[in-house]
Amino acid sequence: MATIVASIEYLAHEILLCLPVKSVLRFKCVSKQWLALISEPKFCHLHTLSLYRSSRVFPSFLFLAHDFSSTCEVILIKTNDVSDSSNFRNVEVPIGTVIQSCNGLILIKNITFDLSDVEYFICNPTTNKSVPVIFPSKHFRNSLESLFICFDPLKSPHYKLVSIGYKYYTSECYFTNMILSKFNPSTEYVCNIYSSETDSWVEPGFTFTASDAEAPHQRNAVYLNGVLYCYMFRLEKFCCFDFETQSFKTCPMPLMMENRRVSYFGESGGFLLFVLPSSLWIEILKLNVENFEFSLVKKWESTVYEEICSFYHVFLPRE
Amino acid sequence: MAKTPEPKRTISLKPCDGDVIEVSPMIAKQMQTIQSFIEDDSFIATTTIIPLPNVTAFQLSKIIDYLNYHSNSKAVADNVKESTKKFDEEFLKELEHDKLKELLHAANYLNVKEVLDFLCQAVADLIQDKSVKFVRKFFGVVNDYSVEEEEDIRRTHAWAFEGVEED
Repeated sequence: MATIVASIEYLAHEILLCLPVKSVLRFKCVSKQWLALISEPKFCHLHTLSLYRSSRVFPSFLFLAHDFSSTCEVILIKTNDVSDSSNFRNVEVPIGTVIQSCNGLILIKNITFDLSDVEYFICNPTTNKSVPVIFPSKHFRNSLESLFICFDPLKSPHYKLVSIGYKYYTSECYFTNMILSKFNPSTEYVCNIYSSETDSWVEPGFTFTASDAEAPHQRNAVYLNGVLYCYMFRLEKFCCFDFETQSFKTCPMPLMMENRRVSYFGESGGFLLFVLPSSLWIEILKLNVENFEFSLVKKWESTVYEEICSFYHVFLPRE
Repeated sequence: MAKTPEPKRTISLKPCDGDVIEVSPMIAKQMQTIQSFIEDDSFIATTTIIPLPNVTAFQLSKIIDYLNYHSNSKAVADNVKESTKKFDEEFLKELEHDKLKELLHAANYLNVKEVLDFLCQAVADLIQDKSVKFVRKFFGVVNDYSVEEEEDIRRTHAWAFEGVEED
């Protein structure tokens, strides 16, 4: 009898690994044993990897978390295969704004009603789970300028956070600091890293000066192949964060991009994407980060509306 | 030089409900449970018949069919995908739910990875859009949740309970 039970558990495990996320979530309801099996971190990671292996991972949704709302509007992106999650909608998320999305996890920022405090959450909309980001101190949290989430299940089941904060933060008000820094061209920043594996922040971190007071910002950040890339719109260049040496490096830009305005920087299908508008053309360029080669994805004549519009989202099918 | 008689090349397997079935060593090798028999010192290929008390003749021949087809089809490159797909579909068509489940257990007992992977995917495809009730019945799992506990999970993952097939 014991062997039959053990073999059923083993077989259930193997079968669950073959199922899409939607079915796995539903079958949490089968029994407490199945719930335990499905909730096991090791199972979750294996399941995610099996989805990647069978090429069932692709950009599927845009999340619009409105300020002061506890549910998140979900906009479906029409791709070839949306069969297993087409009903995925109205995810409950902590109140705030989605500031970054990274391979299935989203980072939410909320400024409290009296503007005195900022809180951050990491949310997995698929499982409807979220955890608050715990900082070493209130001072640390309030001095933050940017926070990045770095998660790639193909590399590790754990995520990392990279924080950039003002070095000489004094005031209690979040906005005062933000405004002050804009008038100081050589603001010094401190960078710290958190790892979910050890559940701890690395302190004291390292200090750097951002020229033109433009520190890397999460709205323009992309985590790809274990490297965090940030585009600096004011400086018209982009840099990458190296986790090994814990430093920001400026990446080379091709000639065709010199003196061109970039209106969108993002990632899709394993490439970094740039949208370059001008009065004549709109161009989408992709960058292969393996060999740092740029290539043209699409080019078309621009309209006045398109030239000024910066709300692009670009999706490429994964090859 | 005296000619020794050709050694017997097949492995004899005795299912619980039928005659001995002979399989080639190539096929036997893929069944881990048989392989450990063969590697045992007391195993003599010419005389030993391996008893399989947990496997029926039907199940054994299905598994051998699958392995035979797939080891042969690997050699030819063209049109393989199409015909393999067809074979797999036909293979499953003959299996009702109970038979599929029993075959899965047999493949698990014989520890034959290729068939096990294939059947796990087949069961996954079968239950993918099915209700929780169907899955409980299929696996013989007893519901040990209270009404409130179950309701709680359904609420948290409401979207996962939409678009489910009728039982």
